[in-house]
Amino acid sequence: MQLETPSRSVVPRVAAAAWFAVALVVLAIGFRQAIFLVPTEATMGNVQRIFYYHLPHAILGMVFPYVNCAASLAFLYWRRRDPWKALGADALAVASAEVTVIFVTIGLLTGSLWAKPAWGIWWAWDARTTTYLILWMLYVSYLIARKFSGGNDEGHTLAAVISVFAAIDVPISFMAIRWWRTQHPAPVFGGDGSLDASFYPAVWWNIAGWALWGFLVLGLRYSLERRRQRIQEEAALEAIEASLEITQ
Amino acid sequence: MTWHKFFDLGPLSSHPHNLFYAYAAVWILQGGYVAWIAKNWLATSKARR
Repeated sequence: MQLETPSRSVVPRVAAAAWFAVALVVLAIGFRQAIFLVPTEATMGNVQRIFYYHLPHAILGMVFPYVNCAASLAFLYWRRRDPWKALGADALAVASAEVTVIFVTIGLLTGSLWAKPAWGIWWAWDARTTTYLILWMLYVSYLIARKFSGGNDEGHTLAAVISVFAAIDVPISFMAIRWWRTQHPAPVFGGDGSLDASFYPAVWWNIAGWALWGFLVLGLRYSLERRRQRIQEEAALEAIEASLEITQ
Repeated sequence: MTWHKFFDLGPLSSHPHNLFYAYAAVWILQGGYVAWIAKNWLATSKARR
């Protein structure tokens, strides 16, 4: 008796489903830790629990821009040398830019919801929040540049250049709370704002859960873009074949 | 903290509702984006046929 080899498309789908299940389990543990298990923070009370969703999104919002930057550099390198590889890099670039916008948006939103009870204001124009807002604006500009370029090569090249500059903002935003005095709290790991160890389970489970979720969503969005590229390519080939038949 | 307190939105001036809003906003945005990907995936499946 011979075992049937699963088709190529089944394996990634099963892997994605398994990844999705693991991410949901880790996020459920993270939620339970954040809401029910870790102690209530003495100064801020229960509102401080926003931090367990704010921190992972803020961190991952600074990780995905590097995926975008690497993919954009690969696109710029391959666009004249190997168009098929360039398309793959371009798909990863747009996927990571969108995921960056989602994570940075949530970082800003949860930060604002936390700021109001903590500082008495929704927003402060300090170095961290401002550079993080600039990061969001740069990635929205990146997506707008792509959208309104009509999908042509020049538009994607312009977007790739924006992406390289956007990545420069990441270390500035990351270091802002170390370089300058800010309204935003000091670093919670190894800084003046050190977190008590009793809060760690909620922090680590949520970082792990949202990282699993984020990279899964990145993979799904990348796959969708590759499908779109294949459909466009097939349509273009069919159009060429049809035009050749007409001329004969 | 209990479920009751998590959903207890309380008076607007005291901001206990911000915790619920923050968690709900995260799931709406993340879930909405995944739903948008799924919708477009189905659209490309139809286009392929």
